[in-house]
Amino acid sequence: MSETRPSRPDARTLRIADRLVEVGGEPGLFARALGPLAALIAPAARGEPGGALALHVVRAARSTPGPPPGSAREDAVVFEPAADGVRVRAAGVGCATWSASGPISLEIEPDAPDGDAFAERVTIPALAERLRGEGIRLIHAAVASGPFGAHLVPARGGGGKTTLALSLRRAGWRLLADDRGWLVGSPGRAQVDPWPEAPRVGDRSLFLLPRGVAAGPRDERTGKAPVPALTPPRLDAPVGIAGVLLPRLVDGPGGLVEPARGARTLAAVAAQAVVATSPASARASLVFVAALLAHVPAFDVEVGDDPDRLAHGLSRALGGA
Amino acid sequence: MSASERLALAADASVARLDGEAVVLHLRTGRFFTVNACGSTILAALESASGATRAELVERVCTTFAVDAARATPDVDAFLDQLERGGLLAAPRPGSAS
Repeated sequence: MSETRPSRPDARTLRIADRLVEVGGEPGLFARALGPLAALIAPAARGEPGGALALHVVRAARSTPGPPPGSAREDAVVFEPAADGVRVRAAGVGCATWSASGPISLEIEPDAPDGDAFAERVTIPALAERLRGEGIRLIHAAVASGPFGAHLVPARGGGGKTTLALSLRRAGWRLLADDRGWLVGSPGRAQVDPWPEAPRVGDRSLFLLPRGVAAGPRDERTGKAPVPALTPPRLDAPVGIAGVLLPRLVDGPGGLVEPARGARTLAAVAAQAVVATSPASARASLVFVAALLAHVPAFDVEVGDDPDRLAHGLSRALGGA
Repeated sequence: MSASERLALAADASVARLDGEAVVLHLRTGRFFTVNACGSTILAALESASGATRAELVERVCTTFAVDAARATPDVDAFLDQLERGGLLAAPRPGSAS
């Protein structure tokens, strides 16, 4: 990959797969605009970005009333047509606007909540939708790499991604991502660019932490605590996808691993990769996921309290795949 | 729905297949629907440019799965009902009944 430097000294460059995203605007707002995207910042080096997707962040002129805290609409994100393309809006937080081939303009409202709220509810949805049009698809999945290659672990929040990934880590696998990654390539040669974030563990996964590694403060809303010491390193390039593991949390030891096929498997994976915001990109993503699963094996994995049994079952299943 | 009405999938429906089964995504609501092999066969007919009548769907299921109409008809009707309730059937076009 050629190395690049932002075209302006007050900019930042993200790398997502082989796509560069240059972040400009008000430097004081970069941290809030990017949030967890900061993990994807590319090191500064020589050359010009040329062709980087521009992300421009400014402060909005005024605030809009947000939904009451704790209400069902609190996390609502609205996609809507805009005069110059598409807009994603989160009331009380801000908005992003972009066209099919142009930059993404971000506006953070003066009273927007601190922390990652703007990034999670505006920047990331906007960036993900924009990149879907270029065949770079955000998927909610852990990514773990072991003797049989890198595997996606797609699941909803609380569905067992982290527990499965940390169980595999105990067996010598590498944790590449805890919650998200970017799918690229053709279905027959699909790759994932893992998004390196600290795993977030609930009570169920605490026993999987290595000795001497502690979890941070628990998030009251999710009940999960980050484990910064286990944050994966950023990979230089996407890795090939060797298979898909679908976790199923069970009481007891778990460890049963069985091939997963058919509509149920397709729906389980598609639910973590397909977002019904743009009909065209949603259709394309659904077709991509189906084609991906036609090329790589998928397995249902019982995740219990015996990681050794799980690793043994997986090794047996993957070795025979 | 009348017996001669030509049925088709709604424009909001997007279909993908794996191992003979299918998933239907409702593009507006974002809901996924899983469909078995029989349903996938019915969907294929509904996806065609001309759609299909209820009778044609029953005949297709009978032929594909080697069952008689008495067995196929309730399954076809139940599936069409589910599609309709899920907003996945197109509204009938004026004059579509042949």
